[in-house]
Amino acid sequence: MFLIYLLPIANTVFGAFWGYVGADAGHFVGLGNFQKIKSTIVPTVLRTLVWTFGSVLPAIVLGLLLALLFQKDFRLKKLFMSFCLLPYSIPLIIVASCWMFVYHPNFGIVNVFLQKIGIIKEPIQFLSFKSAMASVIVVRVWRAMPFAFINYYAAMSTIPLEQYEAADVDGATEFQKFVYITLPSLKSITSTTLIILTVWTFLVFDIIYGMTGGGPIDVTSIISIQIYREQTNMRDFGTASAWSLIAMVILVLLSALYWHLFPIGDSSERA
Amino acid sequence: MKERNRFLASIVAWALRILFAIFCILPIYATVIVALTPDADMMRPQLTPQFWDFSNFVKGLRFIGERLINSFINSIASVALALVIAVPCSYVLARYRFRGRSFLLFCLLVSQMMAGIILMPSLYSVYNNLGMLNSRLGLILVLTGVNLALAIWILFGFFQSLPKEIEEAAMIDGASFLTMLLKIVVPMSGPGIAVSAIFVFINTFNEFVVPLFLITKSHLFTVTLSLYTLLTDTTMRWPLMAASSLIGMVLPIVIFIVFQRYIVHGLTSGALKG
Repeated sequence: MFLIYLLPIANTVFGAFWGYVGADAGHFVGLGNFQKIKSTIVPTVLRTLVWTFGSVLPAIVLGLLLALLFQKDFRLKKLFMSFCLLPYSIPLIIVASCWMFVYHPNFGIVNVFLQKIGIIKEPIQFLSFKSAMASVIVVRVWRAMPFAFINYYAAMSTIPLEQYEAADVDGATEFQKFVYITLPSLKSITSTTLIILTVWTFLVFDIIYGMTGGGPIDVTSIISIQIYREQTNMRDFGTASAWSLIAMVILVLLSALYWHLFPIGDSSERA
Repeated sequence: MKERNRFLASIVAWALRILFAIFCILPIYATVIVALTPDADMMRPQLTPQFWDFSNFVKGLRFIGERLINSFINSIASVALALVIAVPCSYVLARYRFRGRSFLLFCLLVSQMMAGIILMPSLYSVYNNLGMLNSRLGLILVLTGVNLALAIWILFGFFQSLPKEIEEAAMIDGASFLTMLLKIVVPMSGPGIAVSAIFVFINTFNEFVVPLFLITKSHLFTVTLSLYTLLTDTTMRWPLMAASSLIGMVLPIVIFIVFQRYIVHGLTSGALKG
């Protein structure tokens, strides 16, 4: 099974330093492929980081809030839970198309609603140069929040009830219970959720490609979009691999950073 | 005073729950409205469905019906293949201590990280050289591969939580490794296998990047690919796109709702850490 991963990884590392197009074809080109994409590297990486953290952090906070709202039983809990998990089960490309019906300037439901109640006169151009990044981030939050929610919900249900009862006896307020019982028990699930969502979001392609194709004028073109462009439009496996390699290095660095910040011990799985 | 606070708190909680639910359903609701609108009335703003035109669903079904079958076949085949490989792999990883075990576990984690778009150019060139582009089998192999780590990881967590004693008793009674695995371990791990099967199924059904790179012939298109062609079509056929989106999301949603308890339970029992 490691062939499926190791071979392509090796192939990518190799490809990043090899020429494929024009006069360079078939030669070792050193950093030549990186030279070709040099001017776009920094802005693209920055955009990718904005996209990643701009959507992962809100998704985690909202997911935690949602889990708290579902911690106690209430009427229709199952129904509400299904609603809130809905975004997680839909194919990303369909997510992109559904959100087009939310954002569209003429018939998008948000614009229709805001115009009807009179807050705005002119429709908001959600996918314009200025706001496209924020708009796709909202979509990503919509999609990632249920994942954080389900993780937190599962983790919270493993906190022993006795702890809360003991706190009740001692006269603790809800807030104190949250800070002293709930939060400390969620440390390990927070770090795993954070790592997973960061990696997933970093590589998301479908949402952005489906909604903006990386535009307008590259404002939403993150690394995954560049990989696809180099490969498909330029037919240049070398630069595509160079982008892949950049993404891999950043991901490894990010995970190492997380590992360092929130060590996950073998025994702390339930802590 | 305390009673009043509690009352206020429950109102706030309900308001928030409803807000979250609206946020989660909104895009799907918007899609339903458009799907019920005839082409000619598309630019008329609507907050609630005004037209109730179901013909778009017929068109949508005609458009992606065949692709639904493609996606379904790919997913079922990938689930079967992934389970056949993942069950013994994760069992060995969970039960036996051997050299390189922790390295393998680490590789599993890393491979989950590296999957997706990063590897696609490379896979594309490998497939291109092997002449395996536009082959159903080739697509299924990659779909299985990118989900294998997840399946192994889920089952690994599950097997670790199973008691060892029954298996040891079976071994003492002279059962072979394979018999023990099939007759004892598999029947006991229904929930774990179900959870990994569900996740692999939904993941492969929803996969877009892999077929985007590997498939160009329309008779092999998956649901996601054909939706993408609608999304980038220059003549935006919005109602058709909306109806097809809704048809395309039915299967994963139904699976998710039917197996919701499994999924949440799987998570609570520590099955899904990855």
